Amino acid sequence: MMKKEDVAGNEIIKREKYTKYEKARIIGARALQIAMGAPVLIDTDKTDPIEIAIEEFKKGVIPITVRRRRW
Amino acid sequence: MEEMNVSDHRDSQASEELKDLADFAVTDVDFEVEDLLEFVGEEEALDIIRMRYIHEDGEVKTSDIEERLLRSNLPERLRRILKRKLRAVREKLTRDALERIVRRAEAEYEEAKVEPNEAVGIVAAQSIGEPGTQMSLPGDERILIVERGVMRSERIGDFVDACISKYGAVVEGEAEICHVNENFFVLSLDNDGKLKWKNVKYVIRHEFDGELLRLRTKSGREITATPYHSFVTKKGGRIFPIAGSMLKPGERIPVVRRLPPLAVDCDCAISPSPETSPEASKRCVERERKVEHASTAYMLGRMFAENEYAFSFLNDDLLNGSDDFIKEFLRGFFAAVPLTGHPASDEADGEGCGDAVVNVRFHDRRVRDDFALLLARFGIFTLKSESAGDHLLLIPLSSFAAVFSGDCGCDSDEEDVVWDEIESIDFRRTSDRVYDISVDGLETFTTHDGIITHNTMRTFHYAGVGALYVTMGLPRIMEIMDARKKPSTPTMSIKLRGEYARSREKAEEIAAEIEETRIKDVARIEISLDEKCVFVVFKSEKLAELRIQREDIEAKIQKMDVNMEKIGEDILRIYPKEESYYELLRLEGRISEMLIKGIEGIKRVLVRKDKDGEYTLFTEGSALKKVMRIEGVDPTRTTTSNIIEIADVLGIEAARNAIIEEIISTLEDQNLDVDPRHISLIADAMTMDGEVKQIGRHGLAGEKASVLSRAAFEVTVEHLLEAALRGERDELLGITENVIVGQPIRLGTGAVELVSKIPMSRENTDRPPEIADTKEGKDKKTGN
Repeated sequence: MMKKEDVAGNEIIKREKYTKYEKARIIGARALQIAMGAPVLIDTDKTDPIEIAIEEFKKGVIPITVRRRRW
Repeated sequence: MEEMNVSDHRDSQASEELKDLADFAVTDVDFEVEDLLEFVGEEEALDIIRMRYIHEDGEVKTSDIEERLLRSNLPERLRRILKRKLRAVREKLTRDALERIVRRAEAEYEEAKVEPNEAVGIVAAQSIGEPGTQMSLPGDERILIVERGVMRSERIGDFVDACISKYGAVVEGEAEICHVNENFFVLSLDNDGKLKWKNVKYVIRHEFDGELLRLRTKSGREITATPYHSFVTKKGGRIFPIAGSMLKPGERIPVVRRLPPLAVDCDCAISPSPETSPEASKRCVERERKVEHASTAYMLGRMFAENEYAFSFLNDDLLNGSDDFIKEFLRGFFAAVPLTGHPASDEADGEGCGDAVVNVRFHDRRVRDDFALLLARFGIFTLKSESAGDHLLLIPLSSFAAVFSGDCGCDSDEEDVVWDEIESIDFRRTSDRVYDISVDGLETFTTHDGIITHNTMRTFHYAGVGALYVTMGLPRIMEIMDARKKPSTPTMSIKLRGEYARSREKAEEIAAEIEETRIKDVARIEISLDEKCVFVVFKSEKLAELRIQREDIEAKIQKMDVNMEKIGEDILRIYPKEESYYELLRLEGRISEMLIKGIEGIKRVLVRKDKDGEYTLFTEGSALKKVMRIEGVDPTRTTTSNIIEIADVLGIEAARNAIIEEIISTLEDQNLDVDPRHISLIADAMTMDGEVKQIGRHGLAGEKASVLSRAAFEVTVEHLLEAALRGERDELLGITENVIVGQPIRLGTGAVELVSKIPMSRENTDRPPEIADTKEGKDKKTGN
């Protein structure tokens, strides 16, 4: 299984599924951005930031990912 | 789950699903089968598909299976299991099916995995009852007891008190437990729904100050018990024990429908022990004679009815009579009582055919209850009620008719019990003693009213010799987690090897080998004050029984640096070195307590045959190292409940597994189902440094680096003071400390670190310029 790493040797891109916590965090952060006025990256009629974020997540367009550190 | 061991509980979920997966190899095929099925049978359809696929892709070889499995992300253990199963059905496999199966396995495995950062180890606090206390009946509740072939009803308080005065009781915690040596039998419900007369093993009594609950059932029966007293209920076809406090109106408890006879043609329904059967047979004979006087029975019945049930209680002999006798009695009775049945209200039993009931009115409650038992002999279930100060008995005519006139085609193949619905539950305060009975086998016994109740006193039973009282429930869990060096009830379970496991004699030999035997157990020790010596008089039978040689004992005494004289074959005279009174007493003490056989620490040994027919030894007291060495003992299957000892003798990993095993079994005992992950986390934490550490402040909790965490656990002020004095620093890495300061914790969502995916290259002109230019912007963290 290939892992991409950044300069510091931390795994930067998650190749497999996100854990439910990562998913929740990502959607949450994105929803906050949307709520604060960030441009929406998909075409939708929804009005609730969380719902929009969820749709963006499902379409895979959220520009946020997870860094997994080696603790 | 044959290959399960506790260290792989993480895979346990996935394994369950995989179990039969491979068996679906061909049935789980695609739509083509369904198409074909319209025209040909299933077998042919499958054959056609098989042939087609095999023709196209070739046969699935073992190497194909292996290769596909290696490519999957399944762990070694699961790969092995799956490989075995797939190979077994290899001929039926197609490549497609193989692929589908492995994919499905992978998916199930992923599902079952714990996610990283999941908070594990939070065990919901469920109520684990303190065992052995407060699960009893008040003294005035009457129960059915059979003694020497005769059934009677007696107040449980009187019965237990009498036993205790006769046999004495051992005090365990708050309870007094009396081991009953006589053969008393109570009516007990078995797993198969049958009622049998079973031996009483123990009776228990303890003080109680609190609320009793009283259950009333739809059939008019009632029972009063402590809230923790357990009953038996049936849900989803399964019979299991349930605490009284958990019962609600609408739930069902078992009530006697058919009373098994005590003596049927001298083939006693009670399993006779040598003492009772001559008596019981004698009574059988007596009763047989009574049957000859069928007319007597009939007359009695009529008299009973005509005198308006003026008998103050039904004759003991009648209750214990043979079926025929009772039948005649009832015939006579009902000859005099008008059988004007009237249609039942919907409260009558839903027996099936014919719902008319007969109402019989009694003045005396006991007589009514006794009469109900009489009818129960024939499997007639009656309803009880009260009206205008009288006690009524509703007898369903249908079953009555079935028994006495044989017309009705009612189903007589019924259970011995009726699952009676609870109508109401109310409370009553008391501070009297309460009582309980422990029965061999299923631990249930019956009240005079016919209600079957359960005793959850947790003891090991060994028919005839005794039982081990083992700490269970919450106190046991606390013991384990505190890593107590000396558990309160250490016990060992010793499995034997080869012929020792198969023969009771050999097993008992070993038991004698290891059980502590001291001089006082085999000899009489006396001090003679005028001669200033100690006399030791051997009891030859004991010595022979335990196979101890006098010479060995003598040798041991010699070693004690005293003057020993042998007077006669069985008598020793021993002089202490100093001629003082004090020395004499000391000498007596030392001699009587001297260990001559057995292993120090093993106070008692029980031999018991387990379900596989092997003889196993159970001990009170634990000495693993020495016991494992004894010839005949199987050291690979012998264990103890003393975790520290296991760590000493078998190593830390064994201790880890023992912790898991003990906790899980304690929880299972209480019917609590906790995911093994939580337990294994605790066990790992306790053993991670190579020794068994307690959870408390002298162990895990106390070793935490965080000041706040330790302060929040125990001894708050001291920790804070020390830390302040030393200028300590708390890195705020753990859960407790972050909760205290109000920050998100590093579990679950808090463990996620987000990073921007926007590529940082100078050519990307879509980005806002300020972000590209700053160095910090290179690594933009989002969210709060």
